[in-house]
Amino acid sequence: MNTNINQLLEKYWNTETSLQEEAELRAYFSSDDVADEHKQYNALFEHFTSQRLERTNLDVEALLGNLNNMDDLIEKYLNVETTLEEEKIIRSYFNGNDVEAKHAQYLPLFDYYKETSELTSDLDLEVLFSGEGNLDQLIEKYWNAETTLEEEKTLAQYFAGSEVSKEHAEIAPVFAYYQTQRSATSNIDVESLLNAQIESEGHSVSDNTEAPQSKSAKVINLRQVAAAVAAMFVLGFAAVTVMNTTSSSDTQYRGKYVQLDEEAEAQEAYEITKQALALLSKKINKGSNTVVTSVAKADKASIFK
Amino acid sequence: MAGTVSAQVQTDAIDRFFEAYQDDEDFTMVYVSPKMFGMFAKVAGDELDTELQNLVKDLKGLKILRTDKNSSEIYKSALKKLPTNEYELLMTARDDGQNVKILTKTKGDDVIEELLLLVGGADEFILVSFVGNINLNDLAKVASSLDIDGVKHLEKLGQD
Repeated sequence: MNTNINQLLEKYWNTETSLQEEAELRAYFSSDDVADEHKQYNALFEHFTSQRLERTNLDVEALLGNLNNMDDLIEKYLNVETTLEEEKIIRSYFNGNDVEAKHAQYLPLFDYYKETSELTSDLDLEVLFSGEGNLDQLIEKYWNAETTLEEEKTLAQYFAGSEVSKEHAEIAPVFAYYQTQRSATSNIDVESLLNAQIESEGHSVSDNTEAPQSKSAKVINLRQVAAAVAAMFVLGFAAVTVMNTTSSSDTQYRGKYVQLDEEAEAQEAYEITKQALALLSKKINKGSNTVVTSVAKADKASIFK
Repeated sequence: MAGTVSAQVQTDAIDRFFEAYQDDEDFTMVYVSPKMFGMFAKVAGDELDTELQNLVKDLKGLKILRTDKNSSEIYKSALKKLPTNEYELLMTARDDGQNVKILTKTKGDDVIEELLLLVGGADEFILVSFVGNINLNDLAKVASSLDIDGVKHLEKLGQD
């Protein structure tokens, strides 16, 4: 039994496990028979258990009923740690009439989300009731990179739900990408365009300047790769070439373990250090930018009250 | 003395995390040894102004880990496996579908002894570990010479 688990774990580290195998690992770790050598991984699989539950059982009412959770949820939100489902819960709470006095201060922050939730709720009902034929068409559209943002959200919700059919289960990981996205709205699109602009201008510090990389271009390329591999092996080669050319600044080190230790390597070490510092600096600035724009939004809300 | 011992244990957890992916071809890993930092003056020549020099002179180690495969899972796994409770959270942000966390160990107000930069999103996962004294003020000064656009925003904030 133990060697089996070890094999599964090995597969897991290599991200080769199927959903079925991951379920097995999870079951093992939630049982009482975890071997000593495996106990260190307990926390890791606990994490995935709760993730699945969040995705498949969005029992908004049950969770809403427990208001103590609201303080925790808000705390998480302020730490930018909430999942999409949690944010939905917070949104529903703030839309309702039972907002506690102590939470009233956050109202402006969540007002922003009010509009967007109304826009998407109708769409969800349509998809859920329209049956699987429509889904196959949507998936086909997706492989051809023809889906709209709304259609992709629909697909994401389908794959996040508990009713994914067997033929679709295999491609579910492709849509897992969308789970971690916040609800896409027109406001955020503008921001991301601006950021893509900033990124392409201040991108690389070394002498090898890479082509500017916009987020939407990368998503489209990923789909082309998936479609090619699924369809024809011959095109698989083309897909690999596309992936390599769109990778980011560390192409020369890709997939390698580089140890810079010798005097002759000092130049390289210097370059990579500058890059690392540049990345750090850029991320810190992104953090300040995000704060500035969130505060600005909150201010706007109170002006119109 | 006890301080030094516990610092080593903590760094071991991070080292172990890096080591786990060392031989994995889907991961890129770069390690810059302590003695490298002392040689920058020699190789950079004129380009190395005093501010950048100040910033790197106390650096003792730099480790970078990067992948674009299963990046959001690795990011979550990193948050579980790294001894994050032994660090202070300097900054966290989510922007463009990408999570960023910066964890630090500080000595005094401005001096950071160790800094972990974690970037996790659907397209890539990056972990950078800086060991050694980093002064954030120096970093801000140096950022402009590294040609990063955003530093102007930082300065504007300070003026409010």
